[in-house]
Amino acid sequence: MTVAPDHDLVTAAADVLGRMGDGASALRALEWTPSPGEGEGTWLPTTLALMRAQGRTLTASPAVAMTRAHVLIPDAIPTDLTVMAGFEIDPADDVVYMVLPADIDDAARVVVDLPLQGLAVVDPSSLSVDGSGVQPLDPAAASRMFCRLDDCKLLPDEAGLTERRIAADGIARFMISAELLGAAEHLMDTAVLYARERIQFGEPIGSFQAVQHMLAEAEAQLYGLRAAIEQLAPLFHGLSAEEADHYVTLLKALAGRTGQRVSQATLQVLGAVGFTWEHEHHRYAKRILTLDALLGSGKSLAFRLGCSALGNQVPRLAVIR
Amino acid sequence: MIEAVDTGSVVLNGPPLSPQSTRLQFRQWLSDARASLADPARGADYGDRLESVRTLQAKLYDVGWARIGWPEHLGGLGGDARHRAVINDELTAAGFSSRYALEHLEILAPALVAHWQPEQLREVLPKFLRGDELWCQGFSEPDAGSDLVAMRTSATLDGNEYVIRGRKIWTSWALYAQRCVVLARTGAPSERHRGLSVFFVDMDSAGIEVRPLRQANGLEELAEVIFDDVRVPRSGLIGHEGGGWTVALDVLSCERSAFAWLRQARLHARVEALAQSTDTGSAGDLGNVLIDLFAVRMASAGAVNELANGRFIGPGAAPVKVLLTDAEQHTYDLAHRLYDSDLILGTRSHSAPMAEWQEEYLFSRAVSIYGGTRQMQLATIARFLLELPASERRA
Repeated sequence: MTVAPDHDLVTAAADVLGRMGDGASALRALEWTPSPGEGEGTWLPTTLALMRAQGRTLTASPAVAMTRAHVLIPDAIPTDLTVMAGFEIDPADDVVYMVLPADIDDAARVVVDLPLQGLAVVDPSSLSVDGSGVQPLDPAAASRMFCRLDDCKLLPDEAGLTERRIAADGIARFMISAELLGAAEHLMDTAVLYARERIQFGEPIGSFQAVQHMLAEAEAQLYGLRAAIEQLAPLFHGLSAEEADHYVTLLKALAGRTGQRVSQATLQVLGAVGFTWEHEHHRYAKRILTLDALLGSGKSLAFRLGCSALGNQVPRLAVIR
Repeated sequence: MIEAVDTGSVVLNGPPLSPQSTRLQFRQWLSDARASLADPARGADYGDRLESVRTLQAKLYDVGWARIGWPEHLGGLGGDARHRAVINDELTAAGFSSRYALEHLEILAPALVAHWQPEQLREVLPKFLRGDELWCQGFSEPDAGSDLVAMRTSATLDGNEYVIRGRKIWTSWALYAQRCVVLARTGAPSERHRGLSVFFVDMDSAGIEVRPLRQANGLEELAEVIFDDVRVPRSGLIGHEGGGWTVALDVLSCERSAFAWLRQARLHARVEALAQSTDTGSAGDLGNVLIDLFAVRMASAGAVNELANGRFIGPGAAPVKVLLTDAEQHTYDLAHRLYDSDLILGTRSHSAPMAEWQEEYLFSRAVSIYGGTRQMQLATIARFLLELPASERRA
């Protein structure tokens, strides 16, 4: 088996995230910058390692929300301010409901973005946390809020904003996919460790083929996701906007689907103890469900991908160069 | 630099092109030469199909493309597995179908490059590269399928020759092949995998009998091969005596990973064909197949890159094969759902394309069997990647 080149990076980031507890401080300690900038460089591999570590340690940080803000309005954001951008979820007449993939308390400013209408950079005090109805399964990874349009002073869409929205969604999908990989990897490690140690019928349950095959099926899916992230990362900046959008949509769909499969297989191996409040499994499972739901779940993206393939060529990424 | 000159020959001038440049130049050449290249036959006669694949391969060889990706000292034009991968990708994108026996260029040949003496390989590789000769793989036996190490075919040294005796089965293309890569036991059965060796055997040697097996999809691609005191010169030993398991593992590594690249390339074309007849009602299924294809493409690309650096990924090939199995079976499941009774009964069309879908659908049921069953891939992942304990009851 080959060791991933960013293996050390993930371990180091996981160490800092684990120690700091608070994600925003960890980002500062790691001297992480939210702006992908121009061209290739080390930003993407470093950021993906950070997100993977965040998934493994089940920590939360405003990294995705900050990067979204910087891609949306690169020139309007001072780098020393924590500015975040979320996703609009429910267009209404005078109120904007949005999901912020972060904790609102960390925000110095929030970008309220309404496609076709415009955007505004607002003080978090003008946003209200939406406490009604169903709450996000993992509140650390997604908080739901709303603001009144009157308080926002929307600036109209300017040239290039549509392209930047697609780019912002793309990079956010890539980052969330890496976090999904990390969370699924952690669940797999936990279940494998348990299968080696848990004795039933006088043997570790990991020696039974039924258990081995369940974990191996999940590991095969995980292998595919890991390969997809590792192969796509070095090519990403060289892709056209259209290509980047397509492949990162495939990636996010694969990541969501893989996360759920790993979550179910590992729960099955952990058995009843894995379904207790004390066991960490449910917290990872909820993180995975939450990340899957952000910016299109595996199911909805699969439908979208299928629709756009109808009557068209199936693009092939020139992954071997 | 390799330059494609019209539809003429590819000339060498300096270091080989990058795989990406090779891709673009080959695409251009293929588009210019497409009219002069016959579509591979897809009729009922399997021999005719192989013949048309060989005709295309000879053309690609004479122009130079089929020599790219192989070392110059073995008759190639330089480059590595990545160059072959992009050329295969482009061939399928241009509509060429499965390359059948030539798939052994990605399964058997890389292990021979790694383990056999170059002076021996140089004699036979160019003939295979041109499609003049075909190779087959003699591994499985009637009593040794998943438990390959239980195989009993023996090779005994007699003077300067090995004498092979035994029986191989499920040998693809044996009926059409001129050479066979045979796994045989040179040690005692108690030595298990340490007593195995690999031999390169002429299929026209005295004592070889090939009995074709008709598959469930109607084709006679598989065969049983009987070795009745077949004499092989010492130079036909690949690697060293008793080192056959290492060679076999490298072959299996390619059969489960580099091969997956070939299949996913073809599957992209097949899914593209399905996308022309799908409606939004099946868009979700189509999307999921595209995601399957994306996963196996990315995973097998990783394996090809490793191979280009001279590394066989070994147990890492098992998850790639699982991903391929999912992608291929889900592709044809979707075809079945879309074409429904037409695929089974021919209710609406009597066309050749639907006959092709029907045959491929049946073959796709066996992806989870050939090259090591899905059960064995899962056992490999459990043991070598997840390091789960072996059962005490079995031990």
